[in-house]
Amino acid sequence: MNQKNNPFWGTIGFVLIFYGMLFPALTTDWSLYIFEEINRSLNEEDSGKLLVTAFSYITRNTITFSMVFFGALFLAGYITGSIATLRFQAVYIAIALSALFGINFLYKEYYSFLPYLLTIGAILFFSSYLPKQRYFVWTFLILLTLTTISFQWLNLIPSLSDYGFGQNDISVSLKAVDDFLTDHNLFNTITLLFFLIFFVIAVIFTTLIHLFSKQIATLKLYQAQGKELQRIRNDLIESKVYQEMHTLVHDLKTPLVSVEGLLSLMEMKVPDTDEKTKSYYNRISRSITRMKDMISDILYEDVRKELPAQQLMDYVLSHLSTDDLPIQFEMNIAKDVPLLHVNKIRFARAISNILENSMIYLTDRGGKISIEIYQENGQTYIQIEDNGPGIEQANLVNIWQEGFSTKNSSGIGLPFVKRVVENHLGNIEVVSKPGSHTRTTITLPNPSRKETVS
Amino acid sequence: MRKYTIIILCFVISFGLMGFHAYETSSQSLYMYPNLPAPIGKEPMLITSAGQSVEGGIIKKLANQLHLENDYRPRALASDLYEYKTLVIVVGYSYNGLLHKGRQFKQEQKRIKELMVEAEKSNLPVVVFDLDMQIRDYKETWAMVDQILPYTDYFIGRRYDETPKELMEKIERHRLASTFVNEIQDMKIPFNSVFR
Repeated sequence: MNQKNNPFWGTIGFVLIFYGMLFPALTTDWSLYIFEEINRSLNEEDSGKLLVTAFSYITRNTITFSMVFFGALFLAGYITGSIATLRFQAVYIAIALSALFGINFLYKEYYSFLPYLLTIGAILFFSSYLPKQRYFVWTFLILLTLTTISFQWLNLIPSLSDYGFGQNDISVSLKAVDDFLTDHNLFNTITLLFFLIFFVIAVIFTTLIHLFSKQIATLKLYQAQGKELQRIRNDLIESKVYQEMHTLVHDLKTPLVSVEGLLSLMEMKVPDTDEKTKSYYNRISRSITRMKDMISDILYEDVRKELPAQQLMDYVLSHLSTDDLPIQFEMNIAKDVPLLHVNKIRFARAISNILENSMIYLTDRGGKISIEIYQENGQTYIQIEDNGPGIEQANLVNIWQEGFSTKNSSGIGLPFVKRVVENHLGNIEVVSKPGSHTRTTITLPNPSRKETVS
Repeated sequence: MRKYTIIILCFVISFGLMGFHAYETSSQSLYMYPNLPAPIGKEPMLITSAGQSVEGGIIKKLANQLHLENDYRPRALASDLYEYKTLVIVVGYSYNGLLHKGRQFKQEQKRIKELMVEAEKSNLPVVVFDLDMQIRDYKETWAMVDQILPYTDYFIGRRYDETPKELMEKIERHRLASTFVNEIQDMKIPFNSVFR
């Protein structure tokens, strides 16, 4: 019943009702057996036999009406698209009553509408306490069977005949013979007892299922709260680690400044003729400058730098260990791509995350990752495509959520990518076809002249 | 509370129907014979059913308890009447009874009509029993009642609280002697008065 509008369920409902209505015709021998047994009970003046016959009659009616009531659940669910609305209840009653009308029209047994209507009311009342979850259909079936059995016994209580109960042919026959044999003493007590027994069972069943579902719901809430608590704790730890890293990186600047100062002093002592030593000093000095830039990039998100796309990608690929992997990299950077205005460290990390995601699935089976960078309509596109297994549509909507992962990772990689791209006023889009490919496209606005100058 | 609207409506209609049924079965008071002042029938009698309900068997049991000479033949024809001096008919349409006897309702109507005409022709007294007509409140039962009452001499019925208005009107229209009793066993007194 997950997709209630599915015609399959509608068809099942229709077939069940159809067979329910056809059941008396399919079991004519059974009804004749019941009729013969009533006559035999009368001839032999055997009230025990009459009671056994009453059981047989109740069983036959329960099967007939349970099929109708169960079928009505599916058909009403299909028509209304829901099983928890007033409209559903109204349609359910309409279908069930129409079925009884059809049965009376076809067989002239004249089942009373009153106990039938009470049964429907009781079924709908009890079922409103059933959880509309995975096993709803089965719990509903058990409940409707118990309720139907219970209310069928009402048809055999002679005291209720005046109020419109049990006016169909076999009910009247059973009660007439009971009247002759026991002056109604047997049926007035036994049938009332059976009604109460099955009714109480139905009430207990509904209560238990209701309480059980409440317990499950509470348990799920506790689980969700536990998960949330764990996530917050992880975030806290991560934030602390990040703070410590931040402090550490910041502290690196102090010794670096000392190194730079001392280096310039040492460089001054090098004779002009010692070109080789001078070149070493120059290289050390450049490295220190690069290191300072990197520290700035890490410490300050807003730091942007002009750099060619090729340089960015070289930097990215130099940090990925792609050796000995059965993965073929293909890179194509259009000549007219302007300089990228990005935070080099962060943006490179973002692209690395995308590439690493692709590489995880291709490491074992091999494959190809193609990177294409081009510009169009004043925007620069960075497109990364792999021919891996792809992402299911259901998972695709969740990939930007922190903590979501299908491979037991931290689930923070793609949210970080999105955050970095959006910080650069760009967009990111992932398109995937399961079993074929996954394509990630980052769109960055081309830097204006003013931005470039600043 | 709103989600229970339809369910409450369902129960209200049900209780309304119960009230309606209770009202229908308690329409008017009845003045009648406790039994016949003088016998109208003679033995042997033929007991047959109009509608093939099981109640015919109950009347046969009552006749046996009263030691009245009888034959219970649910499918008796007009030609069978020659050997009997009284005709007893138990009215009540039963779908399963007809199914059991392999008959259609039209055939049953035709049989009863022929039986009635033959009984009148032979001057046989006709006694009609109604054990639970109020519960077998089907149009087929009433069709049979309409067919039988014009030929009836004595009507013995069952009273549920009070006798229904519709049946009383029919009995009065045909000026029938009638007795209504509370229990099946109580039928023995008016039944006996037919013969003794």
